[in-house]
Amino acid sequence: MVWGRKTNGSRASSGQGISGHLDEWARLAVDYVDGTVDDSTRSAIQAHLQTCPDCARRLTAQQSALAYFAQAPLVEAPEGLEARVLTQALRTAQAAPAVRPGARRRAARRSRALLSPAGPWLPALAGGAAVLALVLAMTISRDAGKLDATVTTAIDVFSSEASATQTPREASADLPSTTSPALAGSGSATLAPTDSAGTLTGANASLSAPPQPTGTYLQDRAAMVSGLSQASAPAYFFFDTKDGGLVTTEQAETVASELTAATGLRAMDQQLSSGVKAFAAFVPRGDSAAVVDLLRSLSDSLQLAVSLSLQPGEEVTSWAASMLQDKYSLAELSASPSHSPATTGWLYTTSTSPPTTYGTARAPKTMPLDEAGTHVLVVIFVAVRN
Amino acid sequence: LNLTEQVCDEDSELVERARSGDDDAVTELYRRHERRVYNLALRTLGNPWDAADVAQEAFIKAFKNLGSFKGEARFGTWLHRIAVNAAYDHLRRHKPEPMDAEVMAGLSGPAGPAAVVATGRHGIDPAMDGLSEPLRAALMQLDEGFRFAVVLCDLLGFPYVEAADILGVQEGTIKSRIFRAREALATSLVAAGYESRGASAQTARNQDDGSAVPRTGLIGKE
Repeated sequence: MVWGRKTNGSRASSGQGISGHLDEWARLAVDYVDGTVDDSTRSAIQAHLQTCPDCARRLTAQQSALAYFAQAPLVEAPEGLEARVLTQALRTAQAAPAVRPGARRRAARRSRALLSPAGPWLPALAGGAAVLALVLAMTISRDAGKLDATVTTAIDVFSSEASATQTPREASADLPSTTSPALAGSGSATLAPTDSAGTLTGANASLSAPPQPTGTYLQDRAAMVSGLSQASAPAYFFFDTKDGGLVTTEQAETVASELTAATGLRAMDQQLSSGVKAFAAFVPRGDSAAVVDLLRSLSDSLQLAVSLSLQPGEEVTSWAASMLQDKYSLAELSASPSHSPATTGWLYTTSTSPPTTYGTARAPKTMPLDEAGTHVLVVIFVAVRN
Repeated sequence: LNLTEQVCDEDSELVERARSGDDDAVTELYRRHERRVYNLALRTLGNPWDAADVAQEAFIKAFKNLGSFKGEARFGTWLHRIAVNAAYDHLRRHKPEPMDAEVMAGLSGPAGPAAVVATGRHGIDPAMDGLSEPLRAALMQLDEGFRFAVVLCDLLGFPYVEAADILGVQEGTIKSRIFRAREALATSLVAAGYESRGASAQTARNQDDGSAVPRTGLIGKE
């Protein structure tokens, strides 16, 4: 017995009389529940409890609660924590990069990956009112497995000061030379090839303009939840590698299949660059946290990073606008608490028809869900490197 | 043989080696305390993301400041004090904005963000938390002082005197907090429909199974 205080903790309380009710000898009651009072004190307490049902009931309840609490297993620390701690703790000379490398570059790469073939694109769920209503109840036992779902990124919004030190020209120098032609070929009327640097900040900035702080990619959980729940325009999730690069085709496939498995949501049947995956759905604002947590869990289990942007740049938004014209055919992705008593979790439901009721507000059938204010249109991109 | 002293001696020895640049000693120290520090953060902050951040911060801070650890306290006490401070700081810094709190409340009931856990496959474990809903809800509703005390003592098994040292309060204060915390947990459980079984708490409580310090295998049953 090392940590348990029963043998090496506080001294046994002793020699103290009991007078009045429980609250007047609360500290002794703690020892009594712990079993560390001496015999005479225990007798005194038990004598009182026999005459005082109220105190007896309260102490019994405390004992039960403690027994229940103490049964709770200690949770394993998330995988990867050790590596992160030791990497930093043992690092001597090499300083950590202040900003995720590629944080700025990837916006441009992403745009390129999304935009290149820009062909006709149809939502997979264009079937109209058919209800998929895929409810997936993943039952995982309490103690099974470890907690890969624990998202561990400590990265908040990208540092605006740090990114401001990178000039547009420097940033654009990082881009492959194919960037400009790809963007020029995207059909975006607002873009000239020389504007490629503007895509870095998503602001369509010209080269002479100061770079816009790249604070629009959120990775902090609270910021993502808050941002999503309050979004007034479509919200965009991006899956990237942890160092900000584009994922491989295989990784994109895995993200897509996992997302479909967890939610029933299908990847859009788009004709984009090969391997690029995209999803779109209406998410009830109240389910923002559940969806954020799902995506974070998913990205972490695949050793990827997910970020949220409400302003991903004109290329992405205009792409999305053209692709999401038929909002009526988009699915609703909602979450409901799991009813399994042993677990806490969410069941994710995908439906192609608007919910018959959502809270007290009923979305008019003539209005897309997001315009009814109850939902956020969420777009999930997994751009791949080629 | 007093195992407590042995464990602390081993910590002390590891600290000495770590100070002299022995990376293996740092790794070993980490592994001996990882789970407890993480669970401290998890149970006081309420969600695994913040907990991982805070645990990471605490360990890194501790390892970078090993030079200032004078050995006047046990390493574990000192480390957990750092972790407690990191958790408090996190709570200060991340006071949920009203909107955020509103969203959370609407989402997940009294448990707040702690209850929000994704469901999925491949190790995405909805039971990541390991604590039943009413208990976790009750825990997160406790005032911070009570929550830290009850987590340290009743969940992690710290002796009251050591918890008092970690939290910087008197032992009597710890006991008062423990009493109120247990009462609140009990009330919540009863309200959630759990029967008060009158079970013997002291037998159910089992902190000496070695689970507190994983991987080392140094702490076994007596």
